[in-house]
Amino acid sequence: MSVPVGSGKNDKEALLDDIGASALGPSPPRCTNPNEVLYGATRGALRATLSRERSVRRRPRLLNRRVWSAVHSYSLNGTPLSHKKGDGVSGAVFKVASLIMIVDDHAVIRRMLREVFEAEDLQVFDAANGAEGVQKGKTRPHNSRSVHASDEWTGCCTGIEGAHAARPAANVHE
Amino acid sequence: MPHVPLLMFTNNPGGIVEKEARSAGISAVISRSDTDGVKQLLIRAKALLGLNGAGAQRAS
Repeated sequence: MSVPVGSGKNDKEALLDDIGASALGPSPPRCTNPNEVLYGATRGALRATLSRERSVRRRPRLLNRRVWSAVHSYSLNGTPLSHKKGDGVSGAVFKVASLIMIVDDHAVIRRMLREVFEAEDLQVFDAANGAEGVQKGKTRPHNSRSVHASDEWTGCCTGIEGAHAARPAANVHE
Repeated sequence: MPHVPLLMFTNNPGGIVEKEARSAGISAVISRSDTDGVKQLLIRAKALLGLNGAGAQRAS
């Protein structure tokens, strides 16, 4: 956070450009001492951050208790919601779904595993064989919270062949 | 889909299968015939999803 020397702007303007005036909200009071501006700017940015934190922690009026509980537990388990751009201030918070894909040629096994995972509030989709699983895996959304559970033999190809198809060899981790 | 963790839930978790599975990038092979196989699968899946309270852990 350096103040450029010799530019057309005065120290205060240069510093505000450097920090980002949007973080400050209303214009800070005029002063000539750069240290005061720095202190005021830092304090203003901190105040804005704390305000965002509070608005996230406080349950938005439009969210019911159950949804808020899920969102709050996600914020404790995963990335803090308050550190993501655009959330909290408007009360719009989103939970990242945890996805499970089950690949098995036995419908009974698929149904049984689906019930087990859904009982844990996990989102489940399934496939009857490896090829279908790979296809669904490519088309369905997946994210950092996705796991695929596969059988060894899935009709058209083995689970291992399906695993090879699901990820390029270069990205395999051992 | 290269970064999606994979679990194998199989009747034959032999040594060769497990070795092949690891080379294919499968995080864990869980025996279906074990009495607590389903429970193990659930625990592993939740660990990979980071839902066990301690963050995501790669099953070994």
